[in-house]
Amino acid sequence: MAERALSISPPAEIAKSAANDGIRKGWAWFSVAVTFVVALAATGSFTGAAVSNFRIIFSSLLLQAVPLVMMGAFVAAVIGTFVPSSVFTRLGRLPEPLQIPMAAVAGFAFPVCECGSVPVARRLVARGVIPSAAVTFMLAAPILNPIVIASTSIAYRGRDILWPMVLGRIGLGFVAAMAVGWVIGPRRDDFLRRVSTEDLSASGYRDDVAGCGCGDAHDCDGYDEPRWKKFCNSLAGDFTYMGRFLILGAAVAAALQTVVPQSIFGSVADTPIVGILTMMVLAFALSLCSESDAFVAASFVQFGMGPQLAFLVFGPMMDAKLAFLYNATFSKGFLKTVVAVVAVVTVAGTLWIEVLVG
Amino acid sequence: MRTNWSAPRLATGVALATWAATFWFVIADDRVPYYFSARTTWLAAAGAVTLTAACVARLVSARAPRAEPITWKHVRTLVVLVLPAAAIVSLPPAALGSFAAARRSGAPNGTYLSIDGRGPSDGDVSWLDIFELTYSGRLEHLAARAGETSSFTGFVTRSSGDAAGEFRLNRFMISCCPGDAVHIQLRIVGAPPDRLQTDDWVRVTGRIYPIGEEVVVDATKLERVDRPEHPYLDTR
Repeated sequence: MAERALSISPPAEIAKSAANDGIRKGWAWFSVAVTFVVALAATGSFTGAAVSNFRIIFSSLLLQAVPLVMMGAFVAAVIGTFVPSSVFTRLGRLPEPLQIPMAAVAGFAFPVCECGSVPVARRLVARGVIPSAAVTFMLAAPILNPIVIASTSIAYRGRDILWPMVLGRIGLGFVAAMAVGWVIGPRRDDFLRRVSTEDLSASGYRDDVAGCGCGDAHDCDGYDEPRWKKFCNSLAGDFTYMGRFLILGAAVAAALQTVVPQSIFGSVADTPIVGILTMMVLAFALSLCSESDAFVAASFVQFGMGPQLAFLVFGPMMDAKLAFLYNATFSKGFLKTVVAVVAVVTVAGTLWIEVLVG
Repeated sequence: MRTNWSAPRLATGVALATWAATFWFVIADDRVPYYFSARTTWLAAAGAVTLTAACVARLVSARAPRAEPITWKHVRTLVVLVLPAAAIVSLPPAALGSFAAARRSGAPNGTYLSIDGRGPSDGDVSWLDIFELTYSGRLEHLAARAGETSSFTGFVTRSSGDAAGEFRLNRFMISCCPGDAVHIQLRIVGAPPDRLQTDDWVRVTGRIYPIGEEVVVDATKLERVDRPEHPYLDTR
């Protein structure tokens, strides 16, 4: 009897803790929503035009990102289901210091932007690739892929800072991605966010991925399903899990674009480090696709080369919608690590390139 | 092996079907130019195909080895996923207007992307010519064309310093989607005072004059038009 009581008690505590966590999250979101509405009202922005503006930005960001997430989910499902474990075992045997630069170089061959690379990195970790290498790949791919390099070249074509911008973006993106990888290190336990049973159900993992046998950080219960079904489970699981955080991120980005006028950033354009930090904040707020952000960066002509480069390096690695995706995917502390490391590398790197180029 | 229909899997299939239908609707209803630039139009088709495939895959794999109950939290998550898609389909398409024009970057001078690397085209001066010359800080190249007649379609805004009979004609240039829109503006003079409202779409024909950091159009003809099928300019 006592044994039974013991076996019942922990799940009850977990359920209570999950409920409290849910209430806290609910209040947090309610507070954010109230703050947003108050901010809109205070700035006189709570008008039909503002709502329409929000809707346009929100819809377009989502319609751009959802196909890319789905493409990433397809790749992730293939990695999770059809690539033999021996491939990852062989990769894991490579010396760890070599895995990080190799992962960054692999980014050249993955032509999707940041939304698509998150589910792929998640699946790579689940299959046994060391987290530092998977994260390096995730952060490098949106900057180093050929489409992004080409769009950056087109955006700055005809300007004397063309090569510093293109090469600076590639170089700093490479270094920042590897730096995050090195800081994270090879730790394997608890790197992926452990999802509560209740959350699994809500996210679709319980129904969609549980039982997939993928080795992911969720409670696989060992369904013996055919491989094609595991593929479908993985695909649908990524859609439901990533989708809701993508929606939250797009909403935050659209709200920021609606509430904050870009002109307020212009006043600090000439201040060296502040200009760089300002463009990093702007990149975070705008949450642009890395394949188009160069055109926007180039339009901020009041800012010099350094701040524009900071915008192009920081944005694809950390923005409002990515913050939600990272938080949903990786363990606590990951977000802070990425922000800190990428910010330091971006500021130091852009200052150095500014001095170098003159 | 005996299997059961899984309610959560079926529900996820419905959510995927909703999103797939949204992409097909955006294509079929010619709304693609409202959300995508010419460079990224392929994403609409990619979204429709991948989501349809994912939906079919989910539905054909919806039988599970054991019963899977659906929870309210799962339902709520799916509702969050489906709501934006439903909003996109049910609300009429809209384009950025005066609100965004007042808040977005519209750098008056300096340098910007080269659309084709040449000066203004040989024909009538177009929005793209003005866009390129304005952002590349080479508006003086337009001086040779001063006094020529051109037509421009855009939406109306007014600035506090505008005299009666003046307004601003605006368009946005997008690279991928309206999220990255950049603003371009002409100053229209010689218009009938107070005939136009903010955000009205008009076609202005008139003589162009580059003056300082802006292009002034002395209107000779002005007509109200419907919002174009392609409300945004893009680099194509």
